[in-house]
Amino acid sequence: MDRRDFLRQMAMTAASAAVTGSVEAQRSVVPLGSSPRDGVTWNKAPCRFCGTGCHVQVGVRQGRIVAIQADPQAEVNKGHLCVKGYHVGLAPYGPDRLTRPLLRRNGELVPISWDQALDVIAERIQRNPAGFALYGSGQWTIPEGYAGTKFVKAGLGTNNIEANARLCMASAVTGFLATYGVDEPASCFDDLDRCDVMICWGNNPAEMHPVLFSRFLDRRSRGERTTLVDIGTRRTRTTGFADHYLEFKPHTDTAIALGVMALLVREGTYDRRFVENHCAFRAPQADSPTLQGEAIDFEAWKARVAEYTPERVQEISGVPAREIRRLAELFGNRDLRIASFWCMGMNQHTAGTAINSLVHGVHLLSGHWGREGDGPSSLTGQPSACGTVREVGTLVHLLPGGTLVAKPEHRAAAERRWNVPAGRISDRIGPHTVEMFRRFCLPADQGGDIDTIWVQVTNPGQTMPNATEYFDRSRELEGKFLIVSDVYPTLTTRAADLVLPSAMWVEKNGMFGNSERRTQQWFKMIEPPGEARDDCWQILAVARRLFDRGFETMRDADGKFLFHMEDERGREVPTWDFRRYYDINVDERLFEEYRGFSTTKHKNLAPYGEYVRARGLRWPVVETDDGTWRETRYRFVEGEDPFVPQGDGFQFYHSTSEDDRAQIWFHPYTPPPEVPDEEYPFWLCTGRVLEHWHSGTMTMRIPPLRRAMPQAYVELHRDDARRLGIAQGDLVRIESRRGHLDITAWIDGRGQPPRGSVFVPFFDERLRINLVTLHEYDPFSKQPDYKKCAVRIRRAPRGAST
Amino acid sequence: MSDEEQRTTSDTTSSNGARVVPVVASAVLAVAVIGFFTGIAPAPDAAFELRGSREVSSDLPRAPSHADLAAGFAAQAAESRQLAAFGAMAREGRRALTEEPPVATAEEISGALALRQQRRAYDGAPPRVPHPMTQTGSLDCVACHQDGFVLEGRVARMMSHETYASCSQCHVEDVHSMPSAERASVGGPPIDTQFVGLEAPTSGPRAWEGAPPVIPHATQMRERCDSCHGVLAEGLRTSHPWRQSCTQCHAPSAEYDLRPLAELGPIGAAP
Repeated sequence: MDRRDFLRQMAMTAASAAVTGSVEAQRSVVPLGSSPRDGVTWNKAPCRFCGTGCHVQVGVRQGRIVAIQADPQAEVNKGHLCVKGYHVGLAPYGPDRLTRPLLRRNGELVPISWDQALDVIAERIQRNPAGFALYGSGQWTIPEGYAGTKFVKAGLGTNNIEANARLCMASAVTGFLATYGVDEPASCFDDLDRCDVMICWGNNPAEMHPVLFSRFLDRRSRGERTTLVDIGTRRTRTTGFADHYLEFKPHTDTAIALGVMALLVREGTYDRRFVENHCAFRAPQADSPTLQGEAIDFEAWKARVAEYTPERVQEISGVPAREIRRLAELFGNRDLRIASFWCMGMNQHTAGTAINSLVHGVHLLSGHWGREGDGPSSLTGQPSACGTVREVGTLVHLLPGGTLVAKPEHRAAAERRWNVPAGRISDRIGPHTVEMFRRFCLPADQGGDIDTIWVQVTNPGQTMPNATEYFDRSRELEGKFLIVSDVYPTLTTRAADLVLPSAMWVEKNGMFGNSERRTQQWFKMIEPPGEARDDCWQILAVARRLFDRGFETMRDADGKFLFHMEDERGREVPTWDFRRYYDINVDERLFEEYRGFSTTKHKNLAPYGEYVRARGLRWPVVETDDGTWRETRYRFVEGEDPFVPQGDGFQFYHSTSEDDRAQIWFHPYTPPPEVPDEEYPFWLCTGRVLEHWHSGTMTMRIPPLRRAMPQAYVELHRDDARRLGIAQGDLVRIESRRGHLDITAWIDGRGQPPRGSVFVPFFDERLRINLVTLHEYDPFSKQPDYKKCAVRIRRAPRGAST
Repeated sequence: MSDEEQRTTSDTTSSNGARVVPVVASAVLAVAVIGFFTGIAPAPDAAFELRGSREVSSDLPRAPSHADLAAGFAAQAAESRQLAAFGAMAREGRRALTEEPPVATAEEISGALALRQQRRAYDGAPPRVPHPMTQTGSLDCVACHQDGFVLEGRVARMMSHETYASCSQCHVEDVHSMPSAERASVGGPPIDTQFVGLEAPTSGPRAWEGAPPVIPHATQMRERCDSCHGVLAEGLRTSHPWRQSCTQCHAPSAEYDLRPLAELGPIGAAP
């Protein structure tokens, strides 16, 4: 930017600041000599946004949030936040909160009472319990997710519960399961303080996990020597800080990982001792492959990996062979500590399970595993994708604590714990998210057996891929009923038949679990607006309404209400009556019940009270001899993990091969389902930006964030723009085989994609890029690939507007 | 600004271990002193409008280039701050010894607080950036904000905390530099928030008249007091900028910093 540009933009800044609403204008400067902080009470809560799990201190005065402070006692963020976190206190204060239940009558959403709303839902469920599905997200608190799972699996006897996390980190789950036999990272964020090398695999933490990124990066400011390797498909803010940038053709990251493994073996620089003692080898079966695959011996594995020479990898991925060698040299050096991090790039991938497994494999093979700063970790985008969706198990195939619907002994254990008759929990795994919405979008006589979906804490109208076919279509069909609980109007509430106003964040009690197995707790601090109510209460109230209407399976084996709760004097508390909901701490009751499930898979949780005191604790949390509760930083590592016996060094005690070994996988490179061709010559990648969180329903209503990033855009390469006659700021039409979108071009802006590739963020409800994206998904995780499909681009036709 | 424009003529080498005051530091001193005499912070509402000719006169000191920064400009920060403070002392020193130090008027304090409030959602929020920013990750910000300076009546504030690398993690553009922004104002969720943020304190309590006031705000991320109270700060400026160890006399508050109080027990309780 030259000086003239700078000054011109300064003038524009001043002008547009006057136009857009200013949060500051509503505040006057206080009289001299006053102390505005007097009367402000402060209380801890995890941030409402991403999976980092920063703790904030929420300042409340006269029933309203007035300030946020980074919590200096929090181990995750150590007194820092990102710009979203600093402004999270503004999230509840958009002007258009939903405050009353709304029912669609003659095409219009009209206010009704909560009592009427509960009857509407109960009727829909009673009419066809098997056609009902509950769809949530990693924004469910742990008790909400637990109530949802119990409601569906014990109360309705189906497994029709899914969560947006399927679209977000399901391939990370299958990667962990395939490698360690059990879900979730073995390592933790402490790696960021200790690693010599940080490798980002298709990841832009400078924008998506800024606090974690700085935890690593700021070590440089303190004089430490660190190396950042960015393996990506476009230049991002993270690239700006990287020492090495390896740009690969979309989808070919599997070849890069295979190339590194091939060199480690060929050069003899792999960790022979670690591999011999702690690893086994595995590959997918030739026909009908499964997540467990089949065991193969080291020689067979070596032979298959050996095909991926640096030259072949260069051919597939476009990364120069010398860069593959350099990466292999890093991994071949055991004096270094190497931490790998990834997020959506590896997860939203039709070979997501493969690339997740292969990156774990690179670390295991090279012995960069199990030391502080030395290991692989996946990052999550939702605050409780781990705590709720993965650990509680709000997915069609899971039961709480990582137990499985498919295992009869796990079903029986859950039935005992829930005190429901044997056989209540169905052994039929329900439809995963994409399939669930596909069936919701089909008429009943064409296999569309899902007729009612209740959405909580997520916005599928904006986030489902190929949205015309996988969301909008349902709105044209008779007999399909969409219930949506949310805090603001969204694309999903606007399409709904019934809208329920929800309480959010510190308007209710809650618990989250972040990406490093850290379970966190907070208390309600302010009242929700109008008739907005807790999502957990909504589930309990619907369950009770069904109970009252004689729906037999809402009773336990003793005939009591499935969510029967008593006060300390043994009297039943009518938690379904919102006026009485906070008579007891429902969160604590549900959590204590859920906690019983956590020991089966060694995900042990402490009593609720321990989390009240802590800024989160990383499971497994076990009681020590002196009665204190001890968290775990590194799983499967002696001296760190309480379940690894002395003398073993490492023990993968949930091993798929049942011999305490981790699995190093071979997956061949396979091409993606849709690649650019003559008709659709560009790659489209979608993703996020620093200022906005997911579909933007909260952050677009926070003025400082909205002003910094007011709308979505398309990034494209300068040369492509020139060739197509597209100027900076032009309206561009992006078109795929599924849909199109007209959107502003931003050349050399926030990120720089290579030639032949464009990027669009998905936060803007006005610019729904998911009309264009592809619904194809990974065969094991069922997670769709939002990162690549084929599109064509041109200047938008005259008269087009966003 | 091109590199050439930015490049300083300074030679920052030392000889025989003797400390050579670099020209860069002198430049900062010069800016500070000139700024001080000519009145530095503009009125809040005029803070960012264009005024008159924007040609930089040739006798103004040049901003340091990235190369200068890499050559240790940051390390000289404390030194240059001290030099600036000595400049202020040179001007006010006699008076400081014999007279009451100058005190900002209520209007000056209110004006300074109003200016601060324009860029923050609440007291303690990271200020937003009133000019376009480089969109890609880099350290450009520290070129101006490491120690702050005044140029043509505009103050680039010194950062209030130690140097962190990823500035845009917390500080975002107040109004974006995205092209065709007029489209962005059409439709979308409403932006008129109902949030009302915590106001800034106006003064710290004193134990008795004449006692040094305690710090009335959190000091977390505000450990460099001269960011807001140094010689570049109008209204909130200290009356004695040459005193460098602020917390010698002005106590921070463990309560405001949200340090654990439970472990300390009630203040004044018997041991």
